[in-house]
Amino acid sequence: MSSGSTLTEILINGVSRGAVYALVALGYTMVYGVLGMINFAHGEVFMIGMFACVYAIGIFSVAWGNHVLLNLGLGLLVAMIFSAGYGYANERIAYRRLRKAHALAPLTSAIGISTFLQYFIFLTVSKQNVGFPRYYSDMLTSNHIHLGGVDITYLQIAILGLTIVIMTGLFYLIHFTRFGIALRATAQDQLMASLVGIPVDRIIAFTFILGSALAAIAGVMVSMYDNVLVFDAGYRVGLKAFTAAILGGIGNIPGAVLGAMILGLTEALTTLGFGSEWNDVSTFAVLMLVLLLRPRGLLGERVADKV
Amino acid sequence: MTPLLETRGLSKTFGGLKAVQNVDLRVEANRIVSVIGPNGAGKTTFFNCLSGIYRPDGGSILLDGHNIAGRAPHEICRRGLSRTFQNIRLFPEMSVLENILVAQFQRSSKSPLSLLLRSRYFCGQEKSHREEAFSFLDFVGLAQHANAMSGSLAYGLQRRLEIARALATKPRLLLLDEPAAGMNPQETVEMVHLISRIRELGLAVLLIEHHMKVVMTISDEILVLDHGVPIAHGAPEKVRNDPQVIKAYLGEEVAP
Repeated sequence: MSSGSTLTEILINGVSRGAVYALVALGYTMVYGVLGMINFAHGEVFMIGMFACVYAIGIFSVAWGNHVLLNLGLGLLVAMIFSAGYGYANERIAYRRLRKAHALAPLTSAIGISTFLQYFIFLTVSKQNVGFPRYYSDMLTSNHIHLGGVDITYLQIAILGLTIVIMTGLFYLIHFTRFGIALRATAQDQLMASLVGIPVDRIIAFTFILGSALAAIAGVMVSMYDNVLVFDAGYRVGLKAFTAAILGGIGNIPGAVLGAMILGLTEALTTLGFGSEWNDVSTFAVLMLVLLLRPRGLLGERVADKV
Repeated sequence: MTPLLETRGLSKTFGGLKAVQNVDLRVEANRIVSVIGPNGAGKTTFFNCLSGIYRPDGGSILLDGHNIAGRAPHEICRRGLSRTFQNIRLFPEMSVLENILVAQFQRSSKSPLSLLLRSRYFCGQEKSHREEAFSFLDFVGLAQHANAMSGSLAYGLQRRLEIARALATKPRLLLLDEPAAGMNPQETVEMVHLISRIRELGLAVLLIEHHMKVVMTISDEILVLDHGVPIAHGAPEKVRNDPQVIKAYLGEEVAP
């Protein structure tokens, strides 16, 4: 194989990983855009999606046999519902009452929820790495199409396709629908939004539900891609996705995707040049460099926008 | 007949400060009622209690016979009460049109299914709401600015947009907090005209205003507050000559 196609393959890996970070980063950026707070428990919602999917697939294959597409589809749905439920519960229990408190209160609460969920899964579900059922992931990871001398797996296509569809859908939802207008109004001025009849609590709850469902999709994709589920996966991927959101300009949806892609490609190129153990060094070096030059992130909004 | 708005013994205290005490007020449809008083008289606090920003400590607020005291702002808005602010409070990062559309949210179909399927009912509603939004903009003379960012409008136009947005919630009672503040004489005349046209729509208007000329020309009734206490209530001529009112105002205005 020529080195050119190796580079292309590396780039495709980078973009796929970037797409997964993007799905998680969208959740961080949406909640920040509306509430101006970092939901540190978002990574755990992602991790719960992973486990919910694998458990659901296990139950389904016992219940009615190994129908790959059916069980995967339903497993994804269960993961989204589970994660959305957790996301909603987080908002309801840990953040809603703290909305008017000092900014550090919900932040601390989020870190608490994050740690709680991690160790809850660690103690009740699994202390070790769990593999994604090969029977299901193989169909997506072993089959590939051949495009210009490069192999692209079905899973990579699915990841990229889903990310593009979701990002477009989200952009449409926020900018061209009634709900989007209500969401933006809530982000700009919660009190004024409620005075023109917008049920602010419900809008915010829905934001959490939507972001969490997206994280679940990312969770299922990553657990198939890396073939591993682990209780602190949310921490690791969450940190990267959070970094991506900051890199792109937090609160900005295209920015989150752009930041995630840059991060994914940086990781892929680092793996090629220095080995994957240098990934964290390079990604955070990129983050620091970007923030030094553009403190609000690449597509970050002016400071005045959030005041 | 039950009045549109009736407050009974409405009171609000901040710490030891009695900001609003025992306000009884009845407002009928098609009336313009002004609330006046020296600075710090509790006028805005009174508005904040009515619109749900503050929870009153005592008394009741009946809107069409339903007690709305202590209810959430969005519920009160749904019951037909809408307001503007002394310091304009638009959504500055949204277009003029979107500022109106946001106020129609409570009346629009929100089923995600109808959004996805773009059902005929949904599209019809979208279209009629858009037309309605333009008619509100037209009413205040802003139709040609529909796509401008609301934050970039001139001050006087922002006030008008805020009124149009309040109207777009389809209220029956509109609370205007100093709509003529900071306006030149010409703009003030136009604002008076706009407020009378709002009454012609069949709405009741509750008005806080410092321009005495505006208040005296436009009001059907005037309620005077001083230190949160109602000291006079009645027709403009009656209130104008009330010794207590004169005393409250002179006491305030002699100070620099």
